[in-house]
Amino acid sequence: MIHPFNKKPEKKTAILIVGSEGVGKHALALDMLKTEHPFELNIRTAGCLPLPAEKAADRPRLDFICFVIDITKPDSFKIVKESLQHMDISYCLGKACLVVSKVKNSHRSTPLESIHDLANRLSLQVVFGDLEDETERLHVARRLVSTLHLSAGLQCSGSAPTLVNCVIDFAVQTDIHTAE
Amino acid sequence: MSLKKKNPLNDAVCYLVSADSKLKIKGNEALHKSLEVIERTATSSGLSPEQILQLVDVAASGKQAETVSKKLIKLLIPATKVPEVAVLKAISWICTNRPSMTIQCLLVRWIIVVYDYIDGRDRLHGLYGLLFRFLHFHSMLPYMCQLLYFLTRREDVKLYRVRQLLELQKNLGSQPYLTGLLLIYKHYQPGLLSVVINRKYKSFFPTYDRKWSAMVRLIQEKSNPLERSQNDTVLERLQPKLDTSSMAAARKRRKLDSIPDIQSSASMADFVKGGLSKLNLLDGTVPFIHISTFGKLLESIDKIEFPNQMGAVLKSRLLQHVISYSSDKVADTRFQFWLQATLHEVLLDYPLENGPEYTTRLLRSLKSFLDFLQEGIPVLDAVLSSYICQWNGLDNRCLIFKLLTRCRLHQFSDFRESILNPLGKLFFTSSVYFKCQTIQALTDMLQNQVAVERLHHEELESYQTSGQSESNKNKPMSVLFWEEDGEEDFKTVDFVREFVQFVSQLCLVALQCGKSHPLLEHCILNFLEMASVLHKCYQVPFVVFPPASLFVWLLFSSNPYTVSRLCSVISRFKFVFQSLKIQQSTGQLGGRNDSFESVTEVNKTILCLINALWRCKAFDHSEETRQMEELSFSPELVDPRIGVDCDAMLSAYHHQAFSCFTYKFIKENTFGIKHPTEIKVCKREFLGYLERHSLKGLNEFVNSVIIRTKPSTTK
Repeated sequence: MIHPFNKKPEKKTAILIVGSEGVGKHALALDMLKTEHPFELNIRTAGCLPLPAEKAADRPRLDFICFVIDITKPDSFKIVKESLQHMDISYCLGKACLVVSKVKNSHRSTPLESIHDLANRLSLQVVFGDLEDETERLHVARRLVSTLHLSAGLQCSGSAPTLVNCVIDFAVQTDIHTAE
Repeated sequence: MSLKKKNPLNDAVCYLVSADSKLKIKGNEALHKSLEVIERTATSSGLSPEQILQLVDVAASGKQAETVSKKLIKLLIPATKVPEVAVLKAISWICTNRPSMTIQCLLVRWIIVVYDYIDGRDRLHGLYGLLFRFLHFHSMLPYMCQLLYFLTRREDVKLYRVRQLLELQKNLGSQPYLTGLLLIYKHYQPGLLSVVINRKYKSFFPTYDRKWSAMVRLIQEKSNPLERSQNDTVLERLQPKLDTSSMAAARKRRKLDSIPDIQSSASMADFVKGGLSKLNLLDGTVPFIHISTFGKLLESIDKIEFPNQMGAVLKSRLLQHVISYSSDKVADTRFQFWLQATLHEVLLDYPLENGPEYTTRLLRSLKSFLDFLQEGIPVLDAVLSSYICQWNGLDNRCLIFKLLTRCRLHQFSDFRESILNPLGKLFFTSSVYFKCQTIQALTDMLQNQVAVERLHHEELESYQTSGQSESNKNKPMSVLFWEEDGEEDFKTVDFVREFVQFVSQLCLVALQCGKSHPLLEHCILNFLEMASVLHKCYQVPFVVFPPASLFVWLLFSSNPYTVSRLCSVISRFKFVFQSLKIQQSTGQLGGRNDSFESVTEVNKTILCLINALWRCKAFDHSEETRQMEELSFSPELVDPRIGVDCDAMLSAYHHQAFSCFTYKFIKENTFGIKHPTEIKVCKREFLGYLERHSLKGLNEFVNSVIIRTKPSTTK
């Protein structure tokens, strides 16, 4: 089980990209390093969770987990779903997201509804973009870096819960506001 | 003669045609080989009309084994067009009841898939009564309904057919395909059907073979080379040609875009035979294909018949004129059906297969049609709301935002659920430029909804409340896409109020995360300006005041133009409230005074801004401003070493945004001032100085507030 708060924070922010083989994790990681980021970035990738226990001590604190789903591969969604069980629930407070790749492909093996459903249940943010297409991948990388910037607590204006509030519960929030 | 060329395809077709009895499947090398040859040709370049004609006989006769027939029907992919005779043959085979039910269904599905490519439909339409009888076969019902939906003309709608359809609906329950067919009947003859038709279905024909038809279209594009003279006018196409290549040429456009060309072989033949005048005598209508100029359109303005290809509206400006004045419900239903199917395919189901240029072209012509029409299309809103949930925020961004601007008015809760919330999700994690574009799009949307859609909504509302009996007299004239009993019941005021609240919340979060980006502030101020001029420019009888926190946040900006524009926005709001008050006192508002609930908040905001910028009392906690939570912090917390009076820190000449102007003002030294604090004695002159540097807002604001309130405060 990985936990966002069981280790001391470091100067470097660490992000973990989880996804089955061949979804483009490494290309995405390289693009993230290419984009401008005003902080030190440490990217790790994994095929699935849980991570091996013996190396747990060497691992930095993981500030953000990004799950990549290839919508054309049936396994991809299953692996992500199983991996989610090995992640502490506090990651759902704006410290994790789903990246859905190849949504424009017509041979979908996972219906979009089930992805939206999963995301809603766990309050996860969903980012769409084809990781095989260069411009789209760079776009996804930029969005991830800016999300990480906020959720790792490096911006004075907000933190991870801000993200959850804005992305997931914005509708609810405005309801309360107008009710007042 | 074809045998001489040693064409394997012809051999294969001949082999199948010449087989008299049922061919063995197992171990029959010749059969497998010929099927393979046909499959290869069909899926790469399509089959010629003659081959289709021959193979329909083989496949539909039921002579061969079921698997062979099935495969053959699936492979009947036309390279250019399908001869009408082939379709007629298929139907006559269905009538013999020799092929099995599955094959019969498959044949009907094939006709639907190739419907667009049939070279004539008049003889097929002649079989309408016969096809209608097939509705009794339950397994064929969904497909037959769709085929009839395509074929139905006004003269086909008869009372006995309506009765049969209603009987079927009674037995089977409400089915989408029956509803679809009934709806087209109702549009043709509203007098015959008094039932209320349920429009809950997203698509009337979920059984439609999308993959198959995508495949057919792909082959059509492949087999027809790209080049085609672009300046091919309607008149040129009308020229009688001996060969049939003109039809094929029209198809070639499909490669370039998904919008069909207008074509009609029946009317073309009539034209060749007897000319326009004879046609007029026959049934009193003029097919659109004979209309080539605006003058001709005016001549026969009341007699124009819409072409079969409703999608051509997007391409032909003349047809756009026709559809915009016509009150033909059938035409707009057909157009919406086409639009929904096409957009679904292009945006949601097969975006990759269609290619980005294709999509862009379609969206662009759709946008120009919407600009022409000045009205949103309900189907478009529905498709966009599904698309936006899976949008990557990159593809066709400008066009998508432009189309979103043209949204119709909906109940706000639905609108937020379907459009605003998905947009918000993209908004928060995107770059500041995306945020700016979104806010700009929402500003345009507000303008469109107040200036255009509000009037449409009011017209529809008054039409519905006026009662249906005398409805023919004052049908909504300015609205094209509307439904009987289809409009939701809500007030524009509520929509605008909640919309402004929502966008203000978005702006606040954007400001919080964006570290006061100048472009972002510019877009937010554009939005606030739009909200403040709604009453003045579009005669809206109400005003919505955005949350005060947004104003206070912008007050702390370090951009002088932001603060200046903020001041002019707030003074504009003040004028709007004043003029509304005058209108209310003269009874022009008709007893509506929802707007005045926010009057105290406006006053508080004005007081807060003037205290901060002018009176050097930024953190003064008097009665009136006590509730301005945003500015209520205790000045004791500030480090005394700063040496400036806290309350004066936000005054015009101490404000961080104006510091460069303060510096220059002192440098120019017309008043012998050495330190910013001394500007206090010549504040008015400083405002004049700012105004000379195009920062008019502050002066405007101070003049509008101070002069009028001074007598009352000194009292």
